[in-house]
Amino acid sequence: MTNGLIDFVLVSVALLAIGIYGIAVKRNAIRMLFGIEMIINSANLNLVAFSRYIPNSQGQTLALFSIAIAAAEVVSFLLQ
Amino acid sequence: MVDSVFLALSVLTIGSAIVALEIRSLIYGSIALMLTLSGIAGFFLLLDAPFVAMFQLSVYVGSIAVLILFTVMLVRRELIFNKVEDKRRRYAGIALMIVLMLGIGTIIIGSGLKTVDTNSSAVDYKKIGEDFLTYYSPALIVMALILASSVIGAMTLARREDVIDDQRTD
Repeated sequence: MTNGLIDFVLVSVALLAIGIYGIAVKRNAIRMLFGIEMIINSANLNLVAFSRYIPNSQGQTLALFSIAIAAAEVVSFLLQ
Repeated sequence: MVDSVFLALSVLTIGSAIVALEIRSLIYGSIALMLTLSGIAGFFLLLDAPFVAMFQLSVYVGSIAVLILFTVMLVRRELIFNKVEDKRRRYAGIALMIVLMLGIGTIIIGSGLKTVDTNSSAVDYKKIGEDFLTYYSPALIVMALILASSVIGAMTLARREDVIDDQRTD
């Protein structure tokens, strides 16, 4: 592969930092939710990237679990 | 070295993440968040994980982002207006973001991850189904219970006491 593991991890770090900035600064609940979504997505990207380079299927399985739980979390956040 | 598709995807993802947080209108912010999530799905496709990519598209872009958009547009109109932010807090947040990026980035570049590369073929997505139904089957059941309880909880939370129900017969 032309893209190394470190490239994906660096993108994930950038997304994590932007998400933490959103949670720390924004006063609007929906904007903070955007930040939380970005952090969850950076974690998912890490899981799938490492599972590609090991290679192993369990990282993808855990990423699927994480996506489903994040969906449940967003629904209960928005409707409360 | 990275290829051009990777570069375009990372610019799209990170750029629209910043736009989602910084643009004035919350509706355009939700659309930018949708672009970020689609960019992550593109990364999953680059990583030879088409099943996770399609799951991401259908769950995140298809349901979560649309749900946020609906909530912003229809249910909570007062959320569209921005509250005034503290300037100093904002600068401190930007400084925190840059420190985090540089700090963790330096650690990762200095670590042994730089040399990691693979020539082995990608994992077959049939293996994910096997994982779900064998080793992770208790976790799958717990996840189903969590989803069911979130549906019930959402219905309970969304019920309004002050609206008279026309449908009730008693």
